[in-house]
Amino acid sequence: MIELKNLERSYKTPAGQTWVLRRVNLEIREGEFITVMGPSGAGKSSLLNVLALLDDAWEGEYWFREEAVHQMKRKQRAELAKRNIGMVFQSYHLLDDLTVQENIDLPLSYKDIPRKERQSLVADTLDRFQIVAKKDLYPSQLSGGQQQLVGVARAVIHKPALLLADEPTGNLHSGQAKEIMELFRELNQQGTTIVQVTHSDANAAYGSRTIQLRDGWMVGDTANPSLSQPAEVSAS
Amino acid sequence: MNGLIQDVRFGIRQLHKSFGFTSVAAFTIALGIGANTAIFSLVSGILLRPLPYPRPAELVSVTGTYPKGAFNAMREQVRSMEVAAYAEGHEYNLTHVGDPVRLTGTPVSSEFFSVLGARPELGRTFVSGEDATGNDRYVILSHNLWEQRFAANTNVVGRSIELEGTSRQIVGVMPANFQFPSPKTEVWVPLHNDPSNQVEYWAGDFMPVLGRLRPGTTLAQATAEVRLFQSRVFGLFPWTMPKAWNADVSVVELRSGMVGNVRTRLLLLLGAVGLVLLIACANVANLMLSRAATRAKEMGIRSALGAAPRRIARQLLTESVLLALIGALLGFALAGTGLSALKAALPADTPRLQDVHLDWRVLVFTGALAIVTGLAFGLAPALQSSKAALSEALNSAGRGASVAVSRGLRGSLATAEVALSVMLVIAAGLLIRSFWALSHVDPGFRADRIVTARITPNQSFCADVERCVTFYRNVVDQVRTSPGVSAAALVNTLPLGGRVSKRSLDIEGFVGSNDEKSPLFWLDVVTPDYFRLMGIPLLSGRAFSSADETGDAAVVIIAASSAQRFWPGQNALGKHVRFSRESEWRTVVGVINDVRAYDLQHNTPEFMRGTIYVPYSPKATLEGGRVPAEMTMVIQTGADEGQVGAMLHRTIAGLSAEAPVTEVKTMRTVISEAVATPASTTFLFSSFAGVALILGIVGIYGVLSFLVSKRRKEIGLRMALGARRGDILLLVMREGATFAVVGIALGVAGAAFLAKLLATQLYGVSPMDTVTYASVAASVSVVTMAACYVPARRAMQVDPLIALRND
Repeated sequence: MIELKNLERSYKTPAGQTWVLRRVNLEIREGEFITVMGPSGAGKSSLLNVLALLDDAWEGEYWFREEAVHQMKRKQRAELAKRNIGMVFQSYHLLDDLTVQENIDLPLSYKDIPRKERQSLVADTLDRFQIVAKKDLYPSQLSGGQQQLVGVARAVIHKPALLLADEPTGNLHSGQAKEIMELFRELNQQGTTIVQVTHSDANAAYGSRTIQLRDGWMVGDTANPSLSQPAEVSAS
Repeated sequence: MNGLIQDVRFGIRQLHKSFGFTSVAAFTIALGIGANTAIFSLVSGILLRPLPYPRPAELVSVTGTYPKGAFNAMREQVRSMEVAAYAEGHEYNLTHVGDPVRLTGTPVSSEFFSVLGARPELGRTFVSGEDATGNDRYVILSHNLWEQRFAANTNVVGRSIELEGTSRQIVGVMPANFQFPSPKTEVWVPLHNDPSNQVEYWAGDFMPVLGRLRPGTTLAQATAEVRLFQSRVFGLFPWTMPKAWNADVSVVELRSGMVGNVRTRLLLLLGAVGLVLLIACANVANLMLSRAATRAKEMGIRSALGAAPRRIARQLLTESVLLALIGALLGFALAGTGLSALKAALPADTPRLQDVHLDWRVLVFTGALAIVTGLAFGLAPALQSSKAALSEALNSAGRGASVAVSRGLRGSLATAEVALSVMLVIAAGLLIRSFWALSHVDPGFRADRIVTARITPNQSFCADVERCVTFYRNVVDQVRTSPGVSAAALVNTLPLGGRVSKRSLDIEGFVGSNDEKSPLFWLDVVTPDYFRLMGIPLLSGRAFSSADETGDAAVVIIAASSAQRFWPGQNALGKHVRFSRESEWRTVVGVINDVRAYDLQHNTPEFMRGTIYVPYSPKATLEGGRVPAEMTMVIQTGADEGQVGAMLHRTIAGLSAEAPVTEVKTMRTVISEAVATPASTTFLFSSFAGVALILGIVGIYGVLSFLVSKRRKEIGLRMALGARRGDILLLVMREGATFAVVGIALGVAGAAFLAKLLATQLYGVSPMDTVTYASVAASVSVVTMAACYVPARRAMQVDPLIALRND
């Protein structure tokens, strides 16, 4: 589904160039449930932002279903992301002024979908996530778990092929976290490819494959046990 | 008290720390307060300041005007006040004191100075009986004239001077601050009360009457007595006066009587700058709200440490008032600089303009305005911050609510700013359209390449009619043949020149009511070339010829509307008119196009019924039976007024040593002066509306910029969820458009109300003129959308990655 070849990402700082991703080579197949792990600053979220096409300033090759994303213009990348990718954030990122129903509808509102169809999709999603009763509530009136549930519902309403989740349970207690992870498993079983970033081994256990990042380098991949730590890192 | 000092100290520190904010806010307030201070100084000087005479509250003015005969009757009969009269619009030649010069003078009744309580700088004022014929050869000089023409010689009292060919003894000199009835007055002479000259006595000058109430008398009592007198005075006239004459006479304070319709214009301007100040307040309140948002943490800590919401509000209000005082200081300085420009923008004949300056009253007004302004723009942000501080201290959940309230408040302020701006811009638009209409009125004559000048020999010079007529004939002949002159003519009352010439006529075949048996006409005495030179079309019959200048054939030309009024559907040619109290009938030989002679809206004053022209000849007599001595020369030439003035001075000096040439100006200048009042009102109103619009646009821009900065995260998220840049542009523009549309709608409704107050100042445009309303609404929409586009464009540049980074 996705292939990254020698992908690199760096920032210019007053102190010089800081690398956050180094020569990342990664293949993601349809239906996988990948967990990205690593210590803080390892480049996990940066990798997720690149995969989400929120970030443009990387170098290397990015192939999405045989399409060369690295050759696309910004507008084309945005269209690709809109069609295929859903995002779940650690702090939910729901809009305070919109109700649950309106928050879920938000991604659809940016697509050319007739209003009736949108209403029907929102109703189905509310039903599927069992939050019909909460549809008119505002985010501030929900618990953290409920807010993240809405966040996931919003991420998947347009049936993305790829679901990206950045610490989706970081702000939840264990019970709520478990519910969300069960939901991810269910979505994965229904065919959605998932890439999650987490510090939690328990969450990682829901996935089918784990990738380890350290200082921007990909240093471990359960699907590729031969992947070794780069010389610079091992030397340090 | 300690707490307040602490608040002030902390406030000064805070304002100093946020220098950029303080500068912008103080300048905004300075604009509002400066404009208000400048206009208030006009209101204070013209409308409010007590007259500079002893016991000014006793001084009154009678709203009607009276001829000498009626005034003298009033002086004898009215007991509630001591009355005095003065005649306006008189001029006198001062000769044998350097070059002959034309002076503005005021004939006054003998009590004039004593009623006002005015004391002379030198000599004495007039005493009782000095306005009776035979005992009236006196004159009092103004301070300026005394300095300029008599070198401030203290021995001038007792000396005789020749005014208008009559020797008068100087009895006094008035101090520099005595400028009644006008700063232009250079001499005061006694009224010439001569009952034997019936026309002059009963139909000459219709004079304003002022009075000093006797102790214990009220305005109402004085009014009642004057009305009783008014009902009796009709019987004293040697002819029937119209019933409507002085029908609604009353006694008012002299101060308000003097300012007339200037009051309405000043109050309108004060209202306009009041709205500007409101807009400035809304603007600064918005700035304060933005600043309060950055100080939420500080307020939270203060609250957590025990500061009550009231205490926090007081702290913030102290800062607002300090800010307003800084703005007021700047505004006072701005007003000081702008006041002279403002005075210059007003018509020169604005009453009491010399009393206008920045004084303690204006200072008190500015100080009070600063405090009220500070409270006005500080109250909402202070309440908002004190509430937010409490919720900040108690829990973080309340933050969303306070942000929402702040957003609503900001939106309301921006909407109000747009609404107030639209009101002012529509009002200015109506005035501009009205002024445009007035400026494009066809005055009925041509103004291009025409220079005019007044020639004013003494009245006594023209007592010898033949000498006078010959003099003017020679003037025309010599000027006409001067280099660069295409044509030259004379008229006694130049159109739009600010003077009126009247005569009652008997009209053949016209049977008026008792009131109007001999209707009053505008009488123009002209030389034969006048109509051709001025481009006034002859509609039928013939123009005057040189043969008419002998006076052998008694002929007149009548204005078209007058012919239509008195001989509707008939041919006016060959009809006859007769000057009142004359026996000879004059034949109408021509009908001429109407001319806007009185002002650009009216051919004549309302009390006149028509316009008639007679040729300059020994028979061209005004009221009193004399031929006009003062004439205005109109010259068709390519030369400028300087060259024409020099040529005229040379020519006239060769013909008479006692005929000053004054008011040399182009006909275009005469027309501009005729629209000086609406021009100044329009200019000032438009300037204030411009300031209001700029402040309004800055306001809506500021609010949207703030909202965009606060919504960066939301915008980033929307982009992460698939929003295109166009969607974001639309999102922000829609918000701005909501403020604009609601503001414009409210503004249009407000303008409809404001326009009703403006109705008396409008000409040729309805207060509900849809073109003005629609074009202002459309223009303001475009301008506000342009203002919204800048923050909207900034919103489009939001990088979702950076906006969401804190996740």
